[in-house]
Amino acid sequence: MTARVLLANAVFGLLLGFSLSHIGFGDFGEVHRMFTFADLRLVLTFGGAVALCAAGFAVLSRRWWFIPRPAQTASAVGGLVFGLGWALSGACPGIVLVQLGEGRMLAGLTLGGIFAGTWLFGVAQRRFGIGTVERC
Amino acid sequence: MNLEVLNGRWPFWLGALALAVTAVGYAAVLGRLLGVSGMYERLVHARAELAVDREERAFRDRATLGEALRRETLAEMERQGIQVPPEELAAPVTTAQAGPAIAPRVPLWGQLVFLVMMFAGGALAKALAGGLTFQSQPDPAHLQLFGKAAPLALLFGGVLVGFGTRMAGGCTSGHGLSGCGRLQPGSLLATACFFGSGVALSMVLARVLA
Repeated sequence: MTARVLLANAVFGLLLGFSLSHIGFGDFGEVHRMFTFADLRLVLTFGGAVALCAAGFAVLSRRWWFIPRPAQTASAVGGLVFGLGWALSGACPGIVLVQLGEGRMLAGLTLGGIFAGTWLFGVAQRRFGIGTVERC
Repeated sequence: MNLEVLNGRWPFWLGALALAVTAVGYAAVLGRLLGVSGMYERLVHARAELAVDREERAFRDRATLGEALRRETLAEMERQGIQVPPEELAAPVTTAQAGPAIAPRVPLWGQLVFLVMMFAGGALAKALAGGLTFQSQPDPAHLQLFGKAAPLALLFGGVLVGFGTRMAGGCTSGHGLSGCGRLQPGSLLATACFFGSGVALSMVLARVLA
C-alpha cells in the first residue's frame, strides 16, 4: 500500500515534470505567447487536456468520491491574483519546479515567492477568514 | 517511437494527452485528485495537518461512518421512546447506499516525492534533449520585457501565485485539470479568472514594456 503510493507519486511526478518541460510551459516566452495569443499551441494543449480529463473523470467518478468545488467569491478573486502572478513570473506552482530542473536558477526566486505567498495566505485566512471552503 | 519526442517541443495533442494521463491516472491509482498548490500548502502547514490526521482516520470508510450514525440514531430513538424505527434504518448500511469510496489522503512524504520528481522530470527532459546547463540569467523573453526588474518580477509574481492559488483553493492542476475536467463550477470560475487576468496583464505588458 505504502509502496504503491510512493511509486505512483514518483511516476506521475516525473511524467508531469517531463511533459511540462517538453510542452514548453517552463519557457517564459512560450507562456507569454500563450497569454497574448501570439501562439495557440499551449492554449490548445491545455484545452485538449481539459477535454480528455472530462472523459476520464466521467468514468472515474463512479469509483471514487471526489471533493466538490462550488463557485465562491474566493475562487474568482484568488484566480485573478494567481493569473497576475503567472503573467509576471511565467510560473505556476508545478512549472516552477520544472524550471528549476531545467537549470533556470532564477526560478528559485519564484519558488521562494510561492512559499512566502502560501504562508501569507495562511496568515490572512486565520485573521480575515478569506478563502474557499473546499480546497485541494 | 519517434525520437523527436525526446528532443523538441511536443505538438498540442501529445501535450494534452500527457497532461490528461497524469491528472486522470493519478486520480485513478490513488483515488485522490492531483493538485500541486495544495501540496505546497500541506508542506507549509505540515505540523497542523499531522494533528488533524489522527482524528480523521477513524471515519474514512463511508460504510463505517454510515453504520456508526445509524446505530447512534437507533440508540437516540430508544432513549426518546420511539418504538418503530423508519424503514431505512432497519438494515445495516451497504456500500451501494454509501456511494463511491473516499480514498485515504496521500501522506505528506508522498507529496514531497511528487514535487521532487517534477523537478527531476524537468532535468531529465533537458538532459535527454541534449544538454542540461545552468542559466543564471533570466529567460531572454523575460529579460526583454522586464529588464533589470526581472528578478523582482519573479519574486513578486511568485508571492501572487502562492497567495492566489491558495485563496482560490487550487491552481492549474487542481482547478484547471482535476476541477474543470469534472465540470465543477468553482474550478471553471477560478480557471477563467486566472487565465483571464494572465491574458489581460500580458497584453498590457506587451503593449507598455515591449
